Amino acid sequence: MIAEWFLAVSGTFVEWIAGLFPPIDLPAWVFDPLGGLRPVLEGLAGAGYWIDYLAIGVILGVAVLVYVTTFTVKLVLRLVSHVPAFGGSG
Amino acid sequence: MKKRWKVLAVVGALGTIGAALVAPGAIAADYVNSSALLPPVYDPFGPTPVSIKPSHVVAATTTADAAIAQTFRAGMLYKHLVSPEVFGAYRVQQSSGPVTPAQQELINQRAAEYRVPGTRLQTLTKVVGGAASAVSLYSVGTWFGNDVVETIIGHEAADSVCRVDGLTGTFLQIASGRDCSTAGIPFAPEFVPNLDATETGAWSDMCGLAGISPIVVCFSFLGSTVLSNGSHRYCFFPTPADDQFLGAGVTIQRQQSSNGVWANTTWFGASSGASGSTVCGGTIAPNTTYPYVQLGAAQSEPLAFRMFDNSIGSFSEPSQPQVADPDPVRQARCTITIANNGDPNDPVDFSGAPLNYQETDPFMPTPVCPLVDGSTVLSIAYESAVTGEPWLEYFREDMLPETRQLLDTQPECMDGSCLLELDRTGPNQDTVNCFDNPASCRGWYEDAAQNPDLYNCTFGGVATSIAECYIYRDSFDPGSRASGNWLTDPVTGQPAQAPPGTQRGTDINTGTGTGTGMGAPAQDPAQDRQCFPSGWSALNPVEWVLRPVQCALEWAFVPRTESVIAAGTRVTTAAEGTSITQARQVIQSIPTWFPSLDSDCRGPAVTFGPPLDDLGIAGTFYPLDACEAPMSTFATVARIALTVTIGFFVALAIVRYLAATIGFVGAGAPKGEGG
Repeated sequence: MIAEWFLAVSGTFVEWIAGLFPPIDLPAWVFDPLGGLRPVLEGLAGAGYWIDYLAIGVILGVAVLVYVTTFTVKLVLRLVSHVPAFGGSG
Repeated sequence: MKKRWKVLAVVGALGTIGAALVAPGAIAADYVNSSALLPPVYDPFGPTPVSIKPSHVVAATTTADAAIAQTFRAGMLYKHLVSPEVFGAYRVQQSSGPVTPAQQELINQRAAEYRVPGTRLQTLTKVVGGAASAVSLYSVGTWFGNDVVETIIGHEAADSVCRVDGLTGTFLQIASGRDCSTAGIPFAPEFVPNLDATETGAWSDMCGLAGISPIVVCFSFLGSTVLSNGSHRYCFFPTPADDQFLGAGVTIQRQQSSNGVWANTTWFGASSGASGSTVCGGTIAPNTTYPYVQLGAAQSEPLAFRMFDNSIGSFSEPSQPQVADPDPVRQARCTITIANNGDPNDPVDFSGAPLNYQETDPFMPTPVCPLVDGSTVLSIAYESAVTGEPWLEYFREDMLPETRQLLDTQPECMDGSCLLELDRTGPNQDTVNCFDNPASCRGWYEDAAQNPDLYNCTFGGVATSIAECYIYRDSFDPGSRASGNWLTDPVTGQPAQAPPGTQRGTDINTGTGTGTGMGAPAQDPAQDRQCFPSGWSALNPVEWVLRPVQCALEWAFVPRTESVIAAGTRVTTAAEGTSITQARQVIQSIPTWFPSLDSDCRGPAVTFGPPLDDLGIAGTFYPLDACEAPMSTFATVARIALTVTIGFFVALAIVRYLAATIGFVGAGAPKGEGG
C-alpha cells in the first residue's frame, strides 16, 4: 500500500507538471519546414542514379571523423601539457 | 502576521491540487480542438505488428531464412510484445502494412543472401512440356524455390557495373566498390541464353522484273533440306504461279562467301523435266512441285540468294534469312497485387519500373517492386518480356492460404489487434485467462496432454488448435520468467529468446512462490496472500516469523498490477494533448521532411503544366532518364567519376590537415615554416 500511495502521489505530480505545458497552436509548417524546398530536394534525391549519395556521405563522414579525432587528440595533449608531471608548469 | 501567511499557503496548495485534478479534462478538451489542425504524424516504425498464428510462422519457416522466422515467432506471437525491431522483418505473406524505411533496409540486407534464376518463360515451358532444354526441371524447381520474392523487394537495381565484362568491368567494379557477387540475379547454371532468338527465320522474298514484257515476279522461300548425298536443297514458291518464266532466262544466283561474287546455281524449274518433277525437299509439301535450287555437298551455305533474269539483265534485292536478334533487349518488372481497401476480392496491381537486360549479361536485374501501402499484399509476381512484346509471368508468390483465410474470416486480425489467448476452464466451469491468472496455468502444457478439454486456445476470439498456443508452454512458469526464456519455439520445443528491444506492455505476474524462508519469492498481490506457514514449513518456527513479516512488507511495498497500470495510464493520459506531446510529434515528423533517396533509373521528374498545354509540351519528363544505353553507361561513369573526384579532394584535405598537425605545411612553404 505504501508503494501504491507513492505511485498515486507520483501520478498526481506528473499530471501537475504536464498541466504546466498546455498545448499550443503549432503552425503546419513546423511539421514540414522544408516544404517550400521539396521540389528541389526531390529533384536532388531523384538523381540518386547519377550521384552515389551513400559513398559521398561516407567520404565526408570520414573527413569529419578525422577532423574530430585530431582535434580531440590535440586538445588532450594540450591539457595534459599543463600537468607538471608531463612537463607542464601547472 | 505569520498566521495569515500560513492560511494563504494552505489555500494556495489546495488551489494547486484542485487545478491539477481539473487539468487533465481541460487539456483533453483543448487537444481535441487542436488535433484537427495537426497533420498525420509519420510513424518511422510503421503500423502495429501483425498478429499471426504459430502455424503461419511454421509454414513460413519451411521457406524462409530461419533467423527471420525466429524473429517473427518471438515478436509477433506473444500477446504483450510490441517491438519495432521485430516488425522490420517484413514478409509478403504476413504483413498488411506499408514497407517502411526500416523494413526496406532489412529487406535489402536479405536480398543479398539469395539467388534467383533468370530464364524465360518459353524455356521454362519447354521444360514443363518435357522437351529437351538447357534448364532441367530439377534446377527450375530448385532455383524457383519459395521465398524468392522476399529477396527481391527493394534490391538495388543499379548493378550495371556488374554487367560489364572483361578488364573494364573489373576496373569499374573495383573503382565503384560494388560487390558484384550479390548484384542482380545470377542466371541458373545450366541456362543457355537466347534459345528463342537464335533460330533461323524465313528468307525474305525475292521480287524482280522478268520476261520480255517485264512483270514483277516473286519467289518466296519454302524451306530447305539436306539430301542423302549431302546436297542442300532450297525450295521456293513462285508468284505468279506461272511456269512461263521458269527455265526461260530466270534463275537464282548465290552470293559466294569467298569473294562476294554472285554466281548461278543449279536451278530446277517445276516444269523443266525430270528434275522439276521431284518433290521439293520431300518434306515441304508432298505431291507438289516447286522450283528449287540445289547446292552440292561441298558448297557452303549461301550468304544470300537473288533472282536473276539474264534475258533482260534484271535482278532482285538480295534475300537473306531473317534471323532474329541474337541477343534482344529484354525487360523485367515486379508486379504486386494488393487487396484494395483490405478486400481480397478487389485486387489491384502495381508494377515497378521495368529494367532492361540481355541474357548474355552475367546477371539479370532484380526487378524493383513498388512500395505499396494501406492494404494487404495478395501476391507478388515477376514478369519479363522481350521489349515490346507481351509480359510473361515467370514467378509468382501468393499469400499463404492460411493468411488468406484469415483475411477473409478475421480481417481485423491483420492489423495486429488480435491476440493469441490461452484460457483454462476452472473447477466451476468458469473460464480463466492464463495471462490474467498465470498461476492457474502453470504446467498447462503437461496438463493439457492429460486433460485437453481444460484449455482453449483462441486467436482473435476464435477457437483454434491448442498447438497454436504451444509457444506459451513455459510462459507461466516463474523459473522460465526469471531466466527470460518464457517463449517456446513451437517447432523445436526449445526456448525462444525475445529479441533485443522488445517491450513488454503488460507483465505476467510471477505467481505464488514455492520457496521457504528468505528464499520465498514475492506472492501475487492480486491473489489472497498466504501469510502463515502450512504443511511441513509449519514445523519451522522461523517461518512463523518470516512469513508474516514478508506478507506485511509485500502488502506495503509490492504494488498490485492494476495499480501500476493505473499509474502508467495517468501519466500517459496527462502527457497527451500537452505541448510535450506536440514536441514529440514534431520530432517524429522529422523523417518526413526529407524525400527518400531511393530513386530509379528514370531520375528526377520534371512536370510541365498549363499554360504549356497549348504548346503541346505539357506532361512529365525525365531529363536524366538512364534506363537504357547509352545514358545508363554514362550515368554509371558519371557516378563513379563524381565519387572518385570528391574522394580525391577530401583525401587531399585530410592529408593536408594531418600534415599541418605535425607542423608540415608543405614543400612550397616560406622558409622556416615548411617541413
